[in-house]
Amino acid sequence: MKELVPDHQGMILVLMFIVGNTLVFPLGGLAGPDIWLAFLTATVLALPIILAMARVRSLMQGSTFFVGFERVLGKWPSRILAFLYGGFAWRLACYVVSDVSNFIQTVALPTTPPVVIATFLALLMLWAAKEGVEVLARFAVMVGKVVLAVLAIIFVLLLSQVDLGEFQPVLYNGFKPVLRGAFQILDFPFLETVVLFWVFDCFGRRVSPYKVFLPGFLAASLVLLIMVSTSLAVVGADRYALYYYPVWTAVGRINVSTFLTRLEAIVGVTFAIGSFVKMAVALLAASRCFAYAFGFSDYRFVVTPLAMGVIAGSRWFITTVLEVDQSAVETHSPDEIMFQVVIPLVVWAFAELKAKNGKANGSSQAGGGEEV
Amino acid sequence: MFFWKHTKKGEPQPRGLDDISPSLRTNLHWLKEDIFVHDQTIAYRGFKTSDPHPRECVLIYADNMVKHEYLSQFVLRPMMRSSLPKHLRGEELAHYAAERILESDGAEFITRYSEIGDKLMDGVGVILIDGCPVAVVVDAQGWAKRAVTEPPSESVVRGPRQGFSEDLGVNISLVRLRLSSPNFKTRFLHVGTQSKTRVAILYLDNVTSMELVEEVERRIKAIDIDAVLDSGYIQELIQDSPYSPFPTIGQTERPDVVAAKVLEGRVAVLVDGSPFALTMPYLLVEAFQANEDYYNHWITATFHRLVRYISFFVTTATPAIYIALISYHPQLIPTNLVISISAARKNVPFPGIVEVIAMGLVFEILREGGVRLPRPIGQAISIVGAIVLGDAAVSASLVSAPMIIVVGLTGVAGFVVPSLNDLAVLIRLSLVLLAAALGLYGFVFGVIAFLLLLSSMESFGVPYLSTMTTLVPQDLKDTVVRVPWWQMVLRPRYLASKDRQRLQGQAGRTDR
Repeated sequence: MKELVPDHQGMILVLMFIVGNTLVFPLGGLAGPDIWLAFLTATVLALPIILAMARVRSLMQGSTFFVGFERVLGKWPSRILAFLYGGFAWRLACYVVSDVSNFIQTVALPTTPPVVIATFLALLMLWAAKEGVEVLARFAVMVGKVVLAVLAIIFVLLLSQVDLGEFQPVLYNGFKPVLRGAFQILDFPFLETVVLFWVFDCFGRRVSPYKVFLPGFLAASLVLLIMVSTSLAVVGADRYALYYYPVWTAVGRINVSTFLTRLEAIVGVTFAIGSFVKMAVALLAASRCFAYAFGFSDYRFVVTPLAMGVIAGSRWFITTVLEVDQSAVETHSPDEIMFQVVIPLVVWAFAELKAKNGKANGSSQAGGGEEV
Repeated sequence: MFFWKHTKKGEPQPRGLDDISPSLRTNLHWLKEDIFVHDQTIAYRGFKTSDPHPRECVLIYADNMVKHEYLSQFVLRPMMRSSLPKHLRGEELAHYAAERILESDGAEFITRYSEIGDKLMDGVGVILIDGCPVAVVVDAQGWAKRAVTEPPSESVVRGPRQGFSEDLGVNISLVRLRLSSPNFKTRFLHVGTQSKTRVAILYLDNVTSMELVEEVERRIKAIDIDAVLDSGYIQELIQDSPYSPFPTIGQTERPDVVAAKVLEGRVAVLVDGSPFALTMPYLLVEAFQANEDYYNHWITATFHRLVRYISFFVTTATPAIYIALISYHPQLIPTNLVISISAARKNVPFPGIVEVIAMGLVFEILREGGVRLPRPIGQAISIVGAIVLGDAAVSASLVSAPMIIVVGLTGVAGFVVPSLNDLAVLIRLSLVLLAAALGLYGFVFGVIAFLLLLSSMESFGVPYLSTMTTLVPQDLKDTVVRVPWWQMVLRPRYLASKDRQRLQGQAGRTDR
């Protein structure tokens, strides 16, 4: 079954995927007051990978994802890669679920076991993944509008508390902390976008992958930059990295004539909804990859066992909020560099070679074909 | 259904399988003894044409389905005063009568008994002439009809006051009066093996996509049911996502609404005997649109539309948020308020969830009781509801006063979006249960579930949330806001695939 997502919906899906569960964490805390520089650096560093992904998808235009992928890499390498990425995406789903369930336990329901919340989430994402990427993209647009509107309102309300002095002095400790912060941001959330590479089945036009990935990524980066810098300027650079949820804390300080107060619940709700998009996308990617790796044409029957696994996995990888914080703050582990940087670049190189050969042979084998 | 029958000498001839016989006696025999046996509403009026060659004829009609004066004046009188020339044979007789004698405006010829059966039920007169194997059918419909009145379910302050009635012909004419273009097309179908209900498909030839029309026709043709007594039957039998409680086919009692929907490229289906027209595809935004939006000033219309969206949120979400706040997140309520709420709840022995569900149930009972009762008794219900159950329940400490406010607000807000009102009760209940389980986050999970459901739904191939999930400005112009008419240059992208231009030239305005 061919599933086609309109460009603008795909873009919002990318945006929501990146912004989704990142909102409340102390992103790039290692950069200290130079957090905005870390964001800009991370954006620049992530761009080549994002562009490479879009380029590969664009070269595959005209065939569905796995067919095109097989043409580029051959049958067995692509199946092995799919298996590995299936595991990566499934683990990501577990991370996100445990982020959310731990968050809810910490801020709102201290006596409810996180596994109960994880079960609710798993049931919902199971449903979402079964409906497929088209439905998910529509869902992302519906909630994306609300999330962005809420963030805009919060930004305006926070402005009165912003202390620009928190950003100074610029580069006091040199460029090293900036780079460390940037790598932190690259790892989580920017380059987790590689999961999305496996989710879209096909695109409308040859330029569509660029129109989906590039604006989606840049908009997400901008939104996060604004939210994170604002909350850093509100809570203070030294305390920013210490809080589990600095944005939550910052928003808790909003007080408009003692009427508009206690808005942090809205951030929590926004975070839960945004994260849901991310976990559903990750589960969908995992299901698609595993189904393909084992040679099944329809992925839907793998969704349920994988979703049930996520309930267990969310308690397995991370059990407490302390570990959530660590996983967000911790920089690259080798496997993440592999999945998020090396493999995408290698696949891109193969795709280019294949396209060149295809052109030289005068055939459109590699999906290269005629330029649109 | 028809059989050969054994006959003896002198009796009517055996009946050809279904063909009308030239012998009037045979015809009458089979009509009276077989097709319409025991049916005493069928009238057989025998007469003879005038001299010099009188010929036996019979006028057959269903009693009370025809205009009797009309039949006497324009059918019987001319037939009895004229004569049929002697040299005419067989079919010529019928054609001569239709062309030279009968004064009715419609006349057609049929040659089968089964057609007589079908036609008579449509309120016509059938003339059988001795020696002629063809029957003449004259239009004389005249059953009791309800006048065209303002529809009770959709009254307006500003706008046309005509509503559909039960008569299909009248209903189609009400729409046609508003779209007098040759592009306005009507296709007829018959549904129901017993009821043979006439169903009309209405569309604009130059706007609506033909695939949509074909799809609607295909689905209606596939219906195999004994009777269709209201358009609700058709609605349920052909709609998408049948397990979802959200409607995927629109219904209206107003011809102006049907005309507007057809103009946007939708297909309308009218069913004989039902004042409710169906329109498809139906998107969620349509539930929040009212025809008055388009007749009033666009700024006020936009405001009213916003009120509808807010009301829908209020009616579905308020009890759930209230429960979440008082049971899990009292720290989110301003201090003064939380003190007064807890003071009000001090003497109430039940947890909030019990209060919400009990009071919600009471409200639904009162509403359901009021709907089908005669007006004078209905008032008694509201008195009992307001005074006894509301005020007394609070003073008896069975429920808290804030809860009465929540339930009352919820109930009233539900009436603002009437097409989703029944559904809102279900949404509200599920959200309340989730909020009772997981607080605000349970509520959020419920909202996610409903949004997923809505995102997965389609109506006749069009995503249910179409105009809400787009970022194209032109497609957003008629969703939350109702932009001025001169800006609605194009028809909706998802519907009118053929001709999207709605306004021409200077964007429809002349005074700029």
